[in-house]
Amino acid sequence: MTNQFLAAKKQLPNLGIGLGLRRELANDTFDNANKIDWLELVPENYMGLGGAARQRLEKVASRFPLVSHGVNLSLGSTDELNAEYLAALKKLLDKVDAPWFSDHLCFTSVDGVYLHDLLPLPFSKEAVKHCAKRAQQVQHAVGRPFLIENISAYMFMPGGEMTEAQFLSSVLEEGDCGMLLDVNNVYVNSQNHNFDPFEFLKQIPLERTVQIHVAGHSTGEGTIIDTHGSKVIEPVFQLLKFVLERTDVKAVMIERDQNFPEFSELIGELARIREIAAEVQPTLASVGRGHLSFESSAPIIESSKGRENVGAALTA
Amino acid sequence: MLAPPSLHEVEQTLSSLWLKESVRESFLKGEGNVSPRIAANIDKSGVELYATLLEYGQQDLMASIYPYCAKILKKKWEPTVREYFLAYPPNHYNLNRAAQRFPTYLKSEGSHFLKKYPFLVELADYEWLEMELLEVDDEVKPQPNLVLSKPDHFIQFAPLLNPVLLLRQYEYPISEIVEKLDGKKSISGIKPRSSRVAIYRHPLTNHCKYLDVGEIAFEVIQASIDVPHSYSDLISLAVSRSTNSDPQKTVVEFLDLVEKLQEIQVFIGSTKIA
Ligand SMILES: [Fe+2]
Repeated sequence: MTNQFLAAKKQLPNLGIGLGLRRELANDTFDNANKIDWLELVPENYMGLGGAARQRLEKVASRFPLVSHGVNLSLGSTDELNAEYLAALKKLLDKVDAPWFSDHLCFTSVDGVYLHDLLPLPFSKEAVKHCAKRAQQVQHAVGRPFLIENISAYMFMPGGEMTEAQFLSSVLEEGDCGMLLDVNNVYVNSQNHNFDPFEFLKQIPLERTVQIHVAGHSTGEGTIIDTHGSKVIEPVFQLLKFVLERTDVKAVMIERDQNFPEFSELIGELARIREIAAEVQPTLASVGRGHLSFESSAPIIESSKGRENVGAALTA
Repeated sequence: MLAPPSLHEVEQTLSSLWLKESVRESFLKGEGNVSPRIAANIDKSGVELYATLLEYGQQDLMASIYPYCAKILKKKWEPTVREYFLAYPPNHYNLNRAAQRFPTYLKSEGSHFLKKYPFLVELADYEWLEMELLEVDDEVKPQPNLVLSKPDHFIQFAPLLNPVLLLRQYEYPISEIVEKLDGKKSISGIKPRSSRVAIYRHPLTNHCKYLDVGEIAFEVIQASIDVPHSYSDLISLAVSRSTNSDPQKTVVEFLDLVEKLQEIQVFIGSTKIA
């Protein structure tokens, strides 16, 4: 186990409060640029693509600091790492000069087949070793700090030998990489698997957190689903506050992937995050870009054909 | 005591349970051949939930790319999508590419549909091409259009074709079928009739456009695909293909065509070749 990452974390820029870039939100995002410090993009929606995707990328790159959040690295897959994918990812990250990049602690492909969803891994020693080794390979291939995100998982996989907190901690520490902590995923799992989310947070290496995701989920009877399709609820904001009270974080953002509300609702959620940050971690809240003004430009004409890969469960 | 299952065994077994209805059904009934060291520790409701989520993603993607095929197949659409994903599982990290082989699937395994809808493969191709062109990694920079004012211009310059463009010749009038579907009109009497279409991405809006083209326009565009051909070469081509006895008339029509193609950004400018 090494902790070079913790030293590297100190050098990472403080990005502030941001938003996930989605084509449906792109034009509103530009129009509200003074209230959004930075953006996170899903690289699969830009790697090797032209047209509106390229136009959107160029436009955002000229206005916002960007980080990348992949959905198909397939860190936990037993397939070889996809060299073509890594090369395309590196090219994109070099182009936008992302200070770090992230993907999920999951698998999305097996035996050459992509399932296009974030699928849970068994909490096994073999999976820890496998993911940690691949995290290092990925970090080396891309040449930028790599963060791993905890996922929402709706079942335990056979072969488990430890808890989720132990599994996540072991991968982060053996892989010596950073954490993208999704506090909504912690909440969703705590509800579905009946544990205390604050206890969970106490058991993982919070000091490795570089970035935080905040999102909404489906509610109702039975299993709750991480849809990124509704308002962020108060208990999720409380988890965010709990983390910000305990460790230095470089960036917090809202993920919204479907059931898009009036943009003002998202701006309200960003303001709420800024309020929490101002209270417990003021440096994060003060990145604000309000002093910058942008020339107005023609909106991007987005197509509704095809789908952006977003990694959240899409439920009707 | 049984050894713990390997990571690969877990990933492979669960993926198969999530993706394959038949494997899942027999497992849920307590049958099938899932290894006992895994089977005992599988959460059945979790298997069903992931199967639902994965299928929802597949259906959502396909409905967004093939809305007309979906309209035609109605109730048979969803089972067809399921069968397609079993026959052609996604092999690329780009989500939209998971839909790419649907026309191939219909051609090889959709014979039961093709009797009733013999144009279905062509319609699926037509729908896919829009998706393909929307994503093509090619930056199109329109050039100023040259006014063909001197005779030399016809020899020295060639039209520059939009590189994000594909040509298709179909056995059925696919654009007409799409129009009928849009207008909720019946497509039952559709007879085979050759049609030609140019599909391209407009460089200013990034949207795809479908342009129905006649035989000569088709040949003029086709000739310009790989190598630019001078305006005079293209005029000769048009005249040689024209059934019009008056070549003057064909030349005038050709010039009108060039103007139109420039206007709609099929031709994105002129390039000097000599
Ligand atoms: Fe997330």
